[in-house]
Amino acid sequence: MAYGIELNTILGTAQLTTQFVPRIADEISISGSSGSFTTSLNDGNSFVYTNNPRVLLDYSGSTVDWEEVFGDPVVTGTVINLVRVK
Amino acid sequence: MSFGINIKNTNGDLLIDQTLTAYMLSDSGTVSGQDIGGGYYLYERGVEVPNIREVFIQCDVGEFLGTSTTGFVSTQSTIDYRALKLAKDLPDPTGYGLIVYDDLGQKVWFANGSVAIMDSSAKIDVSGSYTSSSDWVYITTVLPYYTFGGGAYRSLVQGVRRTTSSNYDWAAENDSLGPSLTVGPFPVFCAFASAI
Repeated sequence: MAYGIELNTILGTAQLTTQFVPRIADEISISGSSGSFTTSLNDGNSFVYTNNPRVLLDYSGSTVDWEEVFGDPVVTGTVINLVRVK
Repeated sequence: MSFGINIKNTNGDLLIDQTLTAYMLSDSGTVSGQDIGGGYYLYERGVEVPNIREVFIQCDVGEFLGTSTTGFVSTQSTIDYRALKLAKDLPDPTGYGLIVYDDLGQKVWFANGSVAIMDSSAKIDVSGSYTSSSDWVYITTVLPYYTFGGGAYRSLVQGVRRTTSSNYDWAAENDSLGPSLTVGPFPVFCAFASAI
């Protein structure tokens, strides 16, 4: 191996070149039926997902819009995870 | 960097450090789906696949992968899956090897675990497509059925169809399981990995 690190996968080791490893970067609490928040993570190198299956996210630039897609408000304390892959 | 550990790929992108917790392999397997007719197979969370949010599924060329509140729907009768958890939520590794902790003393990565080798992530708009040669797909948002009327209602499960070895299309297909609600259609958020 010429540089870096060989990371394990169950298929064997891999020396990453252009790939990434997903890592959690932030957790944001939401409540209600819709809303938005800003994040500096969304620079094209990260992505956002929610651990609430009823919430749909939409994002461009640093603004993330979210809405509840089943018609019921999201309970207070629901957390949206921001996952960084780079 | 004043202290700690930094591991980068050849492009200089940070892969591992002592700050952000990596997602690592928690569970994997090859499972057969429930035959629901019409060439579709259901993979329920907690039944065929673990009840873990982060599940990558290997998608072959020509196949459909959809997501619903109960799990996944695929045209593949058998799927390979890889489920991920945050390193801090996995058991402490045994034996020997490198472990990286954050300043709270929680594991952020350990050497004898498996990581996801991710290529990209994308929002695929309704009727849109995305260029990716990755075999592993994780649909990050669970979506309701997309239903539209006019004569007879049709409830469609939303997801992606891998049309070629290098392309995924947004797709909504009738698996005959959906209720008669009028919602959607919605874009699909995906993460793509070449290995896990």
